[in-house]
Amino acid sequence: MNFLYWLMGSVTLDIHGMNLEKFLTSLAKNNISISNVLRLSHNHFYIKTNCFYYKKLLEQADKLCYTIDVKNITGIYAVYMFFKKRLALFITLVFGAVLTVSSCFFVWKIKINGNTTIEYYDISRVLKNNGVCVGRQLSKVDPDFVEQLLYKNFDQISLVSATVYGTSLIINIKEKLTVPEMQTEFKPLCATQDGVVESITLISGTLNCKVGDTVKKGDILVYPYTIDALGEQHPIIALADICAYVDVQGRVEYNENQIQYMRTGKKTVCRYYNLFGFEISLDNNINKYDNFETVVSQQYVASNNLLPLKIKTITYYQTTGKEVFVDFDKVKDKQMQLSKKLAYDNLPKGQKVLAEQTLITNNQNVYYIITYLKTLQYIS
Amino acid sequence: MISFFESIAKDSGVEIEILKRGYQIYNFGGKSAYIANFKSIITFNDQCVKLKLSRGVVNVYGQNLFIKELNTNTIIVNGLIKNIEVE
Repeated sequence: MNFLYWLMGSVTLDIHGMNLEKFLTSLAKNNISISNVLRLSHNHFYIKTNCFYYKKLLEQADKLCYTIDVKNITGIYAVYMFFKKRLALFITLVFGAVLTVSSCFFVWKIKINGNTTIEYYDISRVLKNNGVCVGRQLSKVDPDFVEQLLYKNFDQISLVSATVYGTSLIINIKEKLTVPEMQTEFKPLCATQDGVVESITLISGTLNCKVGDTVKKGDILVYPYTIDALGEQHPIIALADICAYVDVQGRVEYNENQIQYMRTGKKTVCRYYNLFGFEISLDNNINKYDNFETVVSQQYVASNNLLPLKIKTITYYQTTGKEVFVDFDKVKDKQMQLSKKLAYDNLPKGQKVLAEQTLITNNQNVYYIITYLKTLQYIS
Repeated sequence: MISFFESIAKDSGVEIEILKRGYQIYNFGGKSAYIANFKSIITFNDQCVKLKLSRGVVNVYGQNLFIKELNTNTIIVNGLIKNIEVE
């Protein structure tokens, strides 16, 4: 009982009033237990009482017109007095506690590990259709049932384990291993460029070429099958590293009879307003020349570019063609340089040039300048 | 097993009912005094506590006296108790 009184708490009161002895006697006669009565002066004293007697004591004090101040409150009674003045806080705390505790009895997360070919969405859909989903009561989620369910619905699963950890359902999946060759269709290995085969490293498949063969782009190099002792074909992915000498070309065509265009002096100017790509013609000029040279210029109307309005001017210069003969020998070096430049532009980055050769052929007044760069590249 | 009051009644020759109904005063080492079956408090300060009995008055003299417990008809007075008189 004493422990209960201690737990419930006590109140220490600061009392002002006369005739303390009469007050104490009245408390005793009314079965009000008090303790630690300390007299500070003839009309000032402290009293400590249990919270059970607090209200009765107050009534007695009121009868005798005493002034009472609460000096200290201990125990659960102190907590009660605190929340009595802060009811909203108390309700919030209780509500929060109830919500937290009650949420511990539900599944809030489903985590799936180990799935690579099976989509998370597919697994969760199957689980949901069988009553296993977020928000479900923990007591109604059976890990054994989940394991059996996944085994039954997914052939790709080799091993599965399910466990409930806190408010999470954790599923670990191990999928069946499949041979890569069984996952893709079998295609032959073809040459990516023209060339002369220099070396072959066969990994899988049946070779269709040998060192020294000249192959063209698209030719089959390795077939996607192997032949056993009985002559039966077994499909397999064709894999091989095949190097070949590949010629990278730079080609230039030059015609000695050329037409040179020169301006006649006549021109037509057309102007447009351009706003966000939309053009409005400022004048009705139309280009009527058969042969012409075009010069275009644009500028903003406003210097501060507040409105992006531009004026676009297109000038058409009439030209006339004149046939001239330019000897190839005069431009030969320049054309050869151009051909070489084109060949090097076509060379793959980092590729080493083993040999360089330039050939010039002609047909009447047309000359063909071809530069060959010999390289060694993988063509498989 | 004989209770405390039965033992006293037997030794003193006073009836046990009288022992229980009458006032009881216990002085524990001059530091705490337990008085039972008093009627009211006449005086209370840090040097003297006077209590009215059914017949007579009990005075507790000392220093730094304070009432440790007060119930319906029992009181515990703590402090430096020098003398307890019954008038």
